[in-house]
Amino acid sequence: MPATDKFVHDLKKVHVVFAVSAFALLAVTIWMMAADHNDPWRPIQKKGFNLDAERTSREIDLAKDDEFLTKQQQLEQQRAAADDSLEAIQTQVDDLTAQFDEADRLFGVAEAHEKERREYLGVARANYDIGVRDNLPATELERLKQKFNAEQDQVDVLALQTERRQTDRNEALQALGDLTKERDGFVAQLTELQSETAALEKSRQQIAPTGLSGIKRTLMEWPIIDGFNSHLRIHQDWLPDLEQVLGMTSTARFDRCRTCHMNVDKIESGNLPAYPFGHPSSESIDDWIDENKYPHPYATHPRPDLYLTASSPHPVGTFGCTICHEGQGSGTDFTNAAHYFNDPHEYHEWQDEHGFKTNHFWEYPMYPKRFQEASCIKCHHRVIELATNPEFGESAPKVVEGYDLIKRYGCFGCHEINGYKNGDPIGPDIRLEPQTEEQKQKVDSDPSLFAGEMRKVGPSFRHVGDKTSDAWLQFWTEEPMRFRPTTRMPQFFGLSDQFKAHGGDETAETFEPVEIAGIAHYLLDKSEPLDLVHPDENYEPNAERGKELFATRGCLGCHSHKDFPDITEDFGPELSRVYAKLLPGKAGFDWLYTWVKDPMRHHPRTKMPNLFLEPYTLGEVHIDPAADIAAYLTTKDEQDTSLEFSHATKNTVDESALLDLTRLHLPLSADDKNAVLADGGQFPLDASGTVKGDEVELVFRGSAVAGGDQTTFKADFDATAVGLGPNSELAWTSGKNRGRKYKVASFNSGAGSLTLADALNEPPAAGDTFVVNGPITHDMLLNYVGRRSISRFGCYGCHDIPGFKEARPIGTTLQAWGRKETSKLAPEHIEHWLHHHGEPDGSSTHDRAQEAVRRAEADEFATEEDEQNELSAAYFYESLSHHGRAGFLWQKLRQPRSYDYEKADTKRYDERLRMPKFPLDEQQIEAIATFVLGLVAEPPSSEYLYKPEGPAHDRVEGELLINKYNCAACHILDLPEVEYGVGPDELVSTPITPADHPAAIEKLLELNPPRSGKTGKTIEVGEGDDKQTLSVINFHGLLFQRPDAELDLEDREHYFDLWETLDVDDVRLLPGSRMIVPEASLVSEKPARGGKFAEWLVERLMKTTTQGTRALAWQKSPPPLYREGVKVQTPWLYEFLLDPGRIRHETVLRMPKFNMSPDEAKTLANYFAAVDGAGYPYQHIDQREPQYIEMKNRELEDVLAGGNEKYLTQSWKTLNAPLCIKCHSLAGRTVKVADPKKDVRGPDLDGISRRIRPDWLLVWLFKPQWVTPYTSMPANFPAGQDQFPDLLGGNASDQIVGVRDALMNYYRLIETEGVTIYEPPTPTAAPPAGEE
Amino acid sequence: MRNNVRMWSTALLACGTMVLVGCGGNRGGADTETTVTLKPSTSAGGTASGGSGDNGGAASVAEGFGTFKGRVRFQGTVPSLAVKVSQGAAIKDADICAAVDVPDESLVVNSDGGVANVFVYLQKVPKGAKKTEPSEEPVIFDQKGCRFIPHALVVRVGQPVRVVSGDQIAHNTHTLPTRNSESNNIVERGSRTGFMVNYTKTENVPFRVICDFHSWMLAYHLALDHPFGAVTDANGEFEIPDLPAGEHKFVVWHEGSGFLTRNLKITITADQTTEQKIDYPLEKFGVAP
Repeated sequence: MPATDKFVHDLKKVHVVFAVSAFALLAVTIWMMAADHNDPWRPIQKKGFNLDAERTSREIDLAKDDEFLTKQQQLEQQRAAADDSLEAIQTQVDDLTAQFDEADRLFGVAEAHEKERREYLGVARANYDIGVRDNLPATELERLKQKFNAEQDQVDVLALQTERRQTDRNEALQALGDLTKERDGFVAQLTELQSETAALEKSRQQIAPTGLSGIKRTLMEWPIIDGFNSHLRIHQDWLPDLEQVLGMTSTARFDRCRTCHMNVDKIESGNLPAYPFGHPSSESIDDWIDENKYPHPYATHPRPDLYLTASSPHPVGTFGCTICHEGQGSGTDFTNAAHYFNDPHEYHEWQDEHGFKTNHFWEYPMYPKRFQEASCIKCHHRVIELATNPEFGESAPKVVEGYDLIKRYGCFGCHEINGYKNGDPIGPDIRLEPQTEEQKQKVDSDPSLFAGEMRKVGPSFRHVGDKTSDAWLQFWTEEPMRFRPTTRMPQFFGLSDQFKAHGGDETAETFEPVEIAGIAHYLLDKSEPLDLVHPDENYEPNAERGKELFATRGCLGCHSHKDFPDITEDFGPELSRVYAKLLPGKAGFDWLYTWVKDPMRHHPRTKMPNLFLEPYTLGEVHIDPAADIAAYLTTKDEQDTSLEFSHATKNTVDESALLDLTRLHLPLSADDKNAVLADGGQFPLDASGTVKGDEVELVFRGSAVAGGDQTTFKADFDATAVGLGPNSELAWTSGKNRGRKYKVASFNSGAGSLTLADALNEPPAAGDTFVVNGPITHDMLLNYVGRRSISRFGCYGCHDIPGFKEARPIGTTLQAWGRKETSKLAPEHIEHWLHHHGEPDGSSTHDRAQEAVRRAEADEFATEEDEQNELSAAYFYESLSHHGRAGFLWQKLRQPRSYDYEKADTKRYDERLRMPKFPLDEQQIEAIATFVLGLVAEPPSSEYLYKPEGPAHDRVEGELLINKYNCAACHILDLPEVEYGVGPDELVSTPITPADHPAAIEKLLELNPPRSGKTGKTIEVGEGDDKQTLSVINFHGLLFQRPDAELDLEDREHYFDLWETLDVDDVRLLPGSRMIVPEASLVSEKPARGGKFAEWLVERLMKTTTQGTRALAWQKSPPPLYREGVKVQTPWLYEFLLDPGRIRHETVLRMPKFNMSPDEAKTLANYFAAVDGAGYPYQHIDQREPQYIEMKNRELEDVLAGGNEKYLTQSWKTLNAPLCIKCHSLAGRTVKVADPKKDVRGPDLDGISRRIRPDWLLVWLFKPQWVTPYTSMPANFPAGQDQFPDLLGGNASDQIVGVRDALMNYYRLIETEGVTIYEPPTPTAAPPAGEE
Repeated sequence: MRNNVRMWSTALLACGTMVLVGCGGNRGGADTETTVTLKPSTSAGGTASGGSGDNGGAASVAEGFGTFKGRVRFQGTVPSLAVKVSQGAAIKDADICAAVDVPDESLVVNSDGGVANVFVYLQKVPKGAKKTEPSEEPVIFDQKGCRFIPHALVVRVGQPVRVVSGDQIAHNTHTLPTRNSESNNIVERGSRTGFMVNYTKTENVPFRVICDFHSWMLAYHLALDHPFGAVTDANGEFEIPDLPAGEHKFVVWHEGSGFLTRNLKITITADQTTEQKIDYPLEKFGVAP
């Protein structure tokens, strides 16, 4: 059958197929569009808009209060009445309106006319100017000029007319206005009244419009239509400069987070979050508004001063979100955005609420809240600015704690954190400083290299033999915390739980004592004798006095001791039982004496400063403070019987274990090992004769005493015992002949010297070393095992150990650990370990985590803290079970060797993990994890890095040094801040007394500019009828006295001395004012930053020395460094920091000399000026300039003794009058001090010209109490007194300036005027009729 | 134990004579040695109220005003105190300061046991007290031979203190109050105009005034916002007039060890003078026997 159309195209069938497929396609299209429209963010945005509209409505309601409504109604009535009265005179109004309209029209016409004519005038002017330019003949120019003049005349006429018309118009308007004035006034008042509500209504109309606009807005939310600029849309922050790494390339970042988090940057007045985050009681937005708590994603970001707002340092438009939070910025649903839960409990909640799954396809999910601060260090490489900032305070405490802990425990000794890559900064830099001169030179000569800055955190072992014994070293190394629970030294041995879990760990039990003995042996064998210093032979140290000196001379600034339980400082070790560790008897005493007296003798890089503990004589008594302190610290506490240690107990080493361990370590074949370890065996030198590595301990060594042809050598061993004789071979290990072997020609065993047979082409230089092999001894084996152990455990990362100067850190570097591929972590069998064991008490970590989640879900936790801790553990456990970095790190720090669980069969003893256990608690571990996870080595483009310049930079660098040298132990850096409530009129401005110089106030305000003490907060005090609301103010000052405990509660008052200039409304309080703070209205007392030791010392001295007078005790203690920058000259401070001389005679201790580099001193000197906004680094002293002195000469011409004396001469006399000398030594005269315990002695005045800034000095001389409220220095030249009428005109104010200028010109005047004793003339006139 | 017995017997004795010394105010053993003798003629009319619910110094107030007069006495052998500066000592400004011996004024007792320089005062204005303005006439606080004169001074808040000097050297007069701001000014040699110190707030206890130039110079000031305070004179006597009738709690304070009695309860009768002798043993004055 031939094919027909009907057969090929069965039209009916075709139609059916077409119809079905068309419907199907339509259905799919609709489904597709519906699915596309069904974005999870749409309802969120809608709810967000509703929330906004509702809030606005509430604000409108709030604004339309009764007062508003009454007022509005009243105005409307008044307006209506006014309208009515206008209606009564409607014809008059109409007439005037018509008049005005006509006048206005005529004015418009005249104005247009004039304007038109001015155009012609412009043309005429231009034509004339062109004529001038083209040098037209004079006649032609004259014609053009005429034309211009004619135009000018016309314009003048028209201008006059316009003016007249305008007057007419204004008069008509005035007439009309007079008639409608009343009504217009009411309208204006009404508009003003309604302006706020009108604005709110307008904004509500935009979010939730009514009427037609409302319909339009609803329409715009419909599918398809919403594609045309709907208000519901994805909000995208485009950040082309903040690239993100995707796979193997980096691309621009775009964040859509604000699609849902639409209120993140909304603030209200006072820079407060408009939608503060919280957990409202229900889902209803009414409740949210009532409670002013908003859940995510509707909440505002915290700290608007710091984040997102345009005025903050991190505006959202520039930074976006994911640069800090991580996660998938392009994701627009909860899971896709790669949110990450803070703990497993939250995970379960999110699963229920959002159907949350972890997004495995996005490599870097958001930081959970606990690690949020990790990202700060991407840009803040110096970290410290996150701890203290004058504007933002402590902004990231957790990451800073992690950073501090890493520095404190010396993690960088093994794990370098290199902050540079190819010379570019990539993150925080925490590395050891160059250890050798060569390393230092290399860094200095290559601009792309940056030197590390860290010192080794442990003590040096270079002279350990003078300090302690073999027994002690073993006792300590085995378990440091056994002796000193607060030590930072981690535990390396006895960490075998993971092996013991399956039948004990015999290997470790056998080998560890040998390793410990080997380490101690090596350290003592390599110890070099220390050049000890000793007290006078006849000196009898006094331990009791030593205790007092220990307390007062500053030791407690860094150390603690059980005799002083109020001090918990732990910058240096706790010293209660230090007597037990030092060599017994005189040897230990001598070492300690040397150490406290001159620490750098023991270790040139020590942080222990020189405290200037020089001997002195007090009355008849000769005192050597270092000896007394050493005697105190070496006196055994007979009460303390808890310590089971004796220097005399020498551990015996298991000989076979020693051989086995050596065998394990020797890098030789089994046969060679046997040969070496056989009786009389020798370590084989290879063909070149070099010995690399720790095996150097198994050969004998010597060195060239003097170079040249007649080279002689000194052997460090008994040459005969080694069998060294003619024809023996020597192998070079250092110098130019390294790696060559030479034959001995002769040797002199008596002197231990020898000569070589070979004629050397390159004669060795003095100090070149050689080796020779010989029979290996027991001591050599111990040294070898010790050295191997030190190498293996990396002890030299923290300690200076002879033989390890060049050694590299043993651990993995951490600078990119936050991005370490999780597949490269080796969790081994950790899950098994944690499932069955894991907790310190042997219980299961798995069970702990499960229990935590269960209790959280059942809401069973007793305290928030407990919940946080347990859920934190559960989080880390969960992370570890998913091979997460955070969990890995957590367990590594908790139980560093636990990853060896069930690995005994495939790991040799020396392949076991080496990471020691640090005494860290779980919160500290979390802080460290926060820091390490932030080490991503992926800095954003360089303009995002925090690179402060000028003072901000110097402040950051200075803060690092302040931490490094623990300056804040002794010195208050920021004064305590007190907040309390004051009633109205309670504060009265500090009176200016007749003794004050009004001119001085101005200077004071320059140096100590007023700060407003208003906080905007209030406090309620009292009860019942006495209840009153006080406004809270804050001020900075020092405690003067605590309340008398015997008084009734309502009578108790705290007293403080104000140190700053404080404004509270119209009241101005000057420094030195006594602040009375009733206990009932005290809101808070924020302690000082720094100065704990000083405050402790003040309390002590009040009891022991100053009979309760706090001011005198402060004068004997380290001074607060308040506004130090405006006080001292920067170059002086630089020199003082490097070599601090004695300034104050009153203090019971001295500023110690720190082991500080000139660069560091410079940075620190600049720091103080930078903090106070003072100019630096150089100061120009105007008062020394001839122009200034000449000006003063002229200014005071009349009073300068009839012109016979110069200004400076009289100033010098004033300085040398019988006033300053009462307390200060000056100009070759020493102050008379009869009783050094009681008489106050001020600083010597010879150094003032280099030390003090002239402006500060002036205020100080005017009124010292304004500068340092506790000072004994009086106002020496009060206004109104006439002490030296013949000097500088007898004017006290001029005399103060004169004294200042004499001090500034001190060295010049001592040259020109010499030692001067000025005695004022005896007054001849009778004293003024007085009160007697 | 012995102390307790003593305390109770003392208290009973005191209560028995209707004077409430020691009933409520004693804390610890220090106060227990206080014995109080009372002139019988003035005890009439004393109403011993419970002392609770009191406001300020006056526990209960009746109409009228009376005077409190008394004498502070020392029981025991008067110790001889070493001079603070002996004549001719090699000290600062020796010409003037060591011209004669400078005595230790920490305990000044006359021949029959009267103790000078003891502060007797109310800490708060009693209810019903007449309002009086402080005198505008300055109180003179002098310095002579490197000693402060007077050694102990009560002054009204608002009444200026003129600090002057009779020495031909400069002194610096440094007040160390608790509730007022400190003043630390030089007084030029021999100045009879000197400078003014103004106390604007009442103090709870007397405070030290020192000269930082001459470390032994010491005086005590007490500023009060009412007139009910006195310092004992050379005979140990004092008088406080115009007290509203009723019970008052007086502070008896001496520089040796502070509070001699913290709450000396005295009942004042209208238009009468209440007289009282107050005796203290040696230890109360902080002086080693």
